[in-house]
Amino acid sequence: MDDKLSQTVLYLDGVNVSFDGFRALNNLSLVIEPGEMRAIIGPNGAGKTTMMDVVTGKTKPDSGAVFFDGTVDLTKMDEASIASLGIGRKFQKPTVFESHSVRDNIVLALEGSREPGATLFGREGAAQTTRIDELLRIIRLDGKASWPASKLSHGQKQWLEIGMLLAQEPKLLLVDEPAAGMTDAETAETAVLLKEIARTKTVIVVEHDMAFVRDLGVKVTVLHEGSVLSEGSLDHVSADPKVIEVYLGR
Amino acid sequence: MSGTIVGRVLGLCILVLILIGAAALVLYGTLPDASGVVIDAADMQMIGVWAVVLVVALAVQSSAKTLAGQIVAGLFIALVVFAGAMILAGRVIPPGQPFHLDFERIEAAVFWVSAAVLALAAIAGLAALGGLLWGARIGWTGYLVVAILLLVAVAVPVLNLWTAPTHPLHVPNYAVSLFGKYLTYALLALSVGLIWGYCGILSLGHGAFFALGGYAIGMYLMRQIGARGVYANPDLPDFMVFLNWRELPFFWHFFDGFPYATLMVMAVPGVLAFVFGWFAFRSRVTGVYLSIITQALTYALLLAFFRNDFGFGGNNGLTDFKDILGFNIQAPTTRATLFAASAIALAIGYLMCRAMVSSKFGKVLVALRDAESRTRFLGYRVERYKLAVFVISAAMAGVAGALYVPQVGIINPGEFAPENSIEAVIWVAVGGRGTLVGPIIGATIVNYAKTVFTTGALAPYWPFVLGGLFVVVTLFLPKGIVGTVQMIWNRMRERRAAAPPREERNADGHGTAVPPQANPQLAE
Ligand SMILES: Nc1ncnc2c1ncn2[C@@H]1O[C@H](COP(=O)(O)OP(=O)(O)OP(=O)(O)O)[C@@H](O)[C@H]1O
Ligand SMILES: [Mg+2]
Repeated sequence: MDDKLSQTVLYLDGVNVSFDGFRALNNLSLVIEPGEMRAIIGPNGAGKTTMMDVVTGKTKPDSGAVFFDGTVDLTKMDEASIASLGIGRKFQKPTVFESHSVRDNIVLALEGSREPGATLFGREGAAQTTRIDELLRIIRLDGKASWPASKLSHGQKQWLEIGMLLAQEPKLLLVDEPAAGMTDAETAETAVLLKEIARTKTVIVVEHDMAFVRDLGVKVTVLHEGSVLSEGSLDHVSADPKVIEVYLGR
Repeated sequence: MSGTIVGRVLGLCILVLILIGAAALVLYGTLPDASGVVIDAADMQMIGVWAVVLVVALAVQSSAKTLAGQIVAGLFIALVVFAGAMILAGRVIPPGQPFHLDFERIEAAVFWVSAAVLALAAIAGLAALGGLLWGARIGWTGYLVVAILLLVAVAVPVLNLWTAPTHPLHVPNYAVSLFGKYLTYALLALSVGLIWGYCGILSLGHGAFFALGGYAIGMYLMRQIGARGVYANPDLPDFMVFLNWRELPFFWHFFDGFPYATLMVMAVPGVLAFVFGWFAFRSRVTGVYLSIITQALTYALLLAFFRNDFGFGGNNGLTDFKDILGFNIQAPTTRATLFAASAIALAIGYLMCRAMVSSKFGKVLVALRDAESRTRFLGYRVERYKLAVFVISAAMAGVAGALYVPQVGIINPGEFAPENSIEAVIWVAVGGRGTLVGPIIGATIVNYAKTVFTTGALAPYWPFVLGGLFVVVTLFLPKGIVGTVQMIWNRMRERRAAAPPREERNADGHGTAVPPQANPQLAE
């Protein structure tokens, strides 16, 4: 393993995924450094979500290397063990536990042992209660802690999922379209929240909303047809003729 | 990792034992002039069963990650080692050789080891229940249900035994047996309700675990008959004499000891559920596919138990029981005691389930029921949760079966019929899926209706009534009786409060079954 690899949080090299012959990821390579926040954009079907599926163990790549922290081979692990490594994910379609209360959603996500014995006999400590309350405040749902998650608005569910992501105390956050379905004000707030998170953690954000990506002000990777089309600052990639062609060609 | 070291050491011990066993086989077993030892087909079967249990034990050991889990697995493996040693000493090493044990000695050893394990399990179980209840949010409705069951456990036997038949509150003998039977059905329904309502596992084969528990206690009861059978054979049950068998099959050994039989009541369904669940949940078989294979499981057992050469009485099953723990099984006092035991078992089972579903464990179960893959992405090993709850549920069903058989006086392969398992699911649906008291109420009501129907002229139409009931409930009361009552109650509360949703903290994790502003403690 070379030096460069060992200094990465996430390292994808030559990753291929195909569904019934359709190449969703085509020789995709991507390197994320510790503490970095990266925005990933790309037209619909570019493979952004599939890339996250590969990292989190939902989809096994046909070929290619996926390493976490430089040494951990993610292609050999299942979802639960990848999550336990400290890789958290927010889904494109908000998936909270609808029948549980807002608070219980956070409780389930809260960092701690995931073993049946521990959840069966363990009881919530004062530190955990404090942390849960704090998280509920961060995601502005402290007044709705006892609401069933199914009663939340779309935007609130997005926030709850971000709260669940934070509760896991992950090292790497994969955030798929956090601003989808949000009002402009909510979108701006989400950008502030993500920047706050990115101070201490490594974050990958997928988003279509260009204003949001501009707000983030970070390095951007453009995916197209399963591979990297362009990479750099938002201004740089927006000026790239290949990117313009892909976006205008649609 | 001390746990894995324990496992490795035990694994090594087992390997050594196997090698010694193989050596002994080669030395004594296969030699034509071996000094009196015969390794026959039955021995090979016994060793085969032992090897299977060994593999299961190792699987448990490798999947147990906590210290407590390792200890349990370690004990399990120690038991397997003990069984291996007994096989070695009793069958492989010939009489006269050092380390040979004759059968009486082995029987005594097994009896006392079983008693010790049972005592240990009881203590551990009580400690676990205490641990579960500590800080758990059971709620007043939960304690109310337990109190009612305990009251029933006391009142019915008292009214049966100590009131005159003319007394207005007298409970006749037939009613004690009948309601005792309902209680065991309720426990079976509870076990189905736990995995279906809270974990989304629709088992259409839970009757198999119930029947296995029943057979385990039935074997004990058969051995208690002794020489009082029709053929007056002190060593063999009647059906074996009838089949011209000369000796007791090895899997019938030790069943004359109550502790051993009691252990088997829970262990046989538990181990079967573990093996089944290990493969099914690991390979992520879910939904209707899982239901179908559970149905196949019970059907396969039905066919096997029907065969005479399977060794469990074939078509006729096990019956003509005489006594249990030295008490006449027909005596009113025994029946009343069995009734009380059933009510208490149901109360304990209910309390245990209630504590389980109100813990974080229960929240994980509901989470994986509603969004399995999401739960995985939070780092939960979904298959472990399913396996744990499936094994607990199977053991509960086994206990229900063991309480059922002495009260009805017979166990036959009919108990494995797929219809029985489906009926249990209907009880849960009628009572209320996603609640714990629902299955209890559902089992009682449906079985009472069944008793009324099948004793009258309408008996042939019962299956249609049952099917119709299921359709009506699914269409008009999708939450079952208890769920519907909860819903109405909540609506009324909501109207009175007329405030934005302010439910109490969802304490027992059965949120989905109840509407949004639910107070989940109601009617549970
Ligand atoms: N399980 C699957 N089976 C078949 N095809 C799939 C599967 N998952 C994704 N695809 C296909 O792979 C391609 C990439 O999908 P992906 O969801 O990764 O795109 P995306 O970049 O996230 O798009 P969007 O912006 O719409 O979310 C799409 O054409 C999609 O139809
Ligand atoms: Mg996507």
